[in-house]
Amino acid sequence: MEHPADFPDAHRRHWEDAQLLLARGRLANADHLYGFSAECGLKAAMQSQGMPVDATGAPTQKGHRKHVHELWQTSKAFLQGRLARQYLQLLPAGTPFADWHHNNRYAHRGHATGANLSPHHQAARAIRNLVQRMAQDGHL
Amino acid sequence: MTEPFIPFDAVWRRVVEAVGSGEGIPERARPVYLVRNLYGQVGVSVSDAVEEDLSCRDALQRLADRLHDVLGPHGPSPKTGVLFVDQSLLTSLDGTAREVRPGVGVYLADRLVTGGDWWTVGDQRASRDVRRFTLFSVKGGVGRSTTVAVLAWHLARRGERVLVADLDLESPGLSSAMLDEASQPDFGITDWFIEDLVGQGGHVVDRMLAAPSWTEDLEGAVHVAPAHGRDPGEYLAKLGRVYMDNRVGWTARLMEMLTRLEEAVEPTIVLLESRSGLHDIAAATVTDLDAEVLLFAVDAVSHWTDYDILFSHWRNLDLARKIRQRVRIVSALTPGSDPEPYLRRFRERSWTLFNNHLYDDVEVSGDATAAFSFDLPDRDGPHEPVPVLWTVGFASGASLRHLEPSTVTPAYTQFFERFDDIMGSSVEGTEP
Repeated sequence: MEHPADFPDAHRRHWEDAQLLLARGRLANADHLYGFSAECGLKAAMQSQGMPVDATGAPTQKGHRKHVHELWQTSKAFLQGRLARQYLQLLPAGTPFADWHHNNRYAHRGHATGANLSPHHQAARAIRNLVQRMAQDGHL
Repeated sequence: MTEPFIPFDAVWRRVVEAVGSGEGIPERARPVYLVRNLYGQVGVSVSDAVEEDLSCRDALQRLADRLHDVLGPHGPSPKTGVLFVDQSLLTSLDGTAREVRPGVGVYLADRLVTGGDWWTVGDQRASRDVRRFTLFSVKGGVGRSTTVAVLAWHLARRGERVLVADLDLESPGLSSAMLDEASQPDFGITDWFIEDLVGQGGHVVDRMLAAPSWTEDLEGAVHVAPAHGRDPGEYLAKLGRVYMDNRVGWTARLMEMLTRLEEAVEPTIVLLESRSGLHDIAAATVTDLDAEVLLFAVDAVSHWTDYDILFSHWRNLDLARKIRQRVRIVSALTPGSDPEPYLRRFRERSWTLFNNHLYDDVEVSGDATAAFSFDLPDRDGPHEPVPVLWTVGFASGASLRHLEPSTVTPAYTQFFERFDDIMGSSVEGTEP
């Protein structure tokens, strides 16, 4: 059965497991989970700022039902108001997940290297900081 | 049963009691930040380096539970629990963090939507060639704009190059009061903030300055940067974006604009007309621009109460030492016919304010020579009022476009004398 979405918890869980996998040198699945941690973190932030979700916690708008490589730019539009700069400056410039894809879970592990994992790891950490800051601010 | 009401102002005292001497909080868990969020709720944040440490987790959870019990709706929600966060998110709180008790390693830090500049006093220095003065008041209608214009006139008569910046953006008017319509510039300060957002600030700097007609005969010069240009344009659409943070925070943008104006004018004196009240833009002009600050007040309870709020805030945050050298009080709208009794009352109120919050307690410090402390009659103290008299000439609406010694002198003689004292030997001159 499918359980309802809990983006803040899923964000933390994927991060923690990715960290464990990275420490063991399991790069391919660590990379996979950094991407999901980032996606869930962005969705947690967006939900706190009004992103509509249905009874199962899933986003109702098609543009929000995306994985991180397609969600990155959309999510920034949710960070508005007087603290927008403080939140946005926690995130790296550019599109760090442009070369990440959820279907790479079907790919050979040899494709995952430290070089292509590193920006995903850093960006996921930045999103973790964003989620933590928004939690400190009482939004989450 | 209804829940007891716990007001915001009870939070600090209850936090101090709940933290106590920090018993039960392991040393390795500190510093502990009690972050009062945007909704006014206090939560517990610590470094994620101790996240796996079970005894730390337990101790901090007990602290969170205690805060929840004593703070009610202003406490941490059970759902959030203790936040284990990246160290960078803790150090970035230091601007507003206050230690709950000296040496305990537990801090209360405020996350704010606006007004963060009242929590700090900037260390950035202006160029050594220029002195900046901010004219601030907690209430409007006290003759601040008039004084800016008259003071610029006075200084220019003495050969100073004066830059006047109208930062009262919500109530612009200084420039139209000082400048003939024909001489008003194309743009104003508001335009710089808007154009800077899209990288065009450099296009407007030289086109946002103008000189009042009365400067022609003076030894020095006055350049006015108005809030808006000759045609205000879509002023409200621009004003709604002025306080936007960009690559850097808003205060840094204000400093950059001022620097660009100073490069264009090369002034010896800068006069900043601040917005009145405890607003963000006022906080920046009072605390962050390395300006000496003239605090305008009239002897009314509402004025003293507002200054008491501000001064006690500085004292509580241990900022008194940094701000007190820069501030000086102005007795605005002083009755011109018989000023002395009024000024006597004003001085007593002003001294009480300064003595309560900004002056050192000599008996406690025990070192009278090193202390920053002044007695009531001491004319060197910043509590000593710099008087602007309320005279018939100005009361009848003297135009700031055509300043004449005959109208200025009766109201401003004492003010000029005192201001020249403040300026020290750098300003010499004769009476107007």
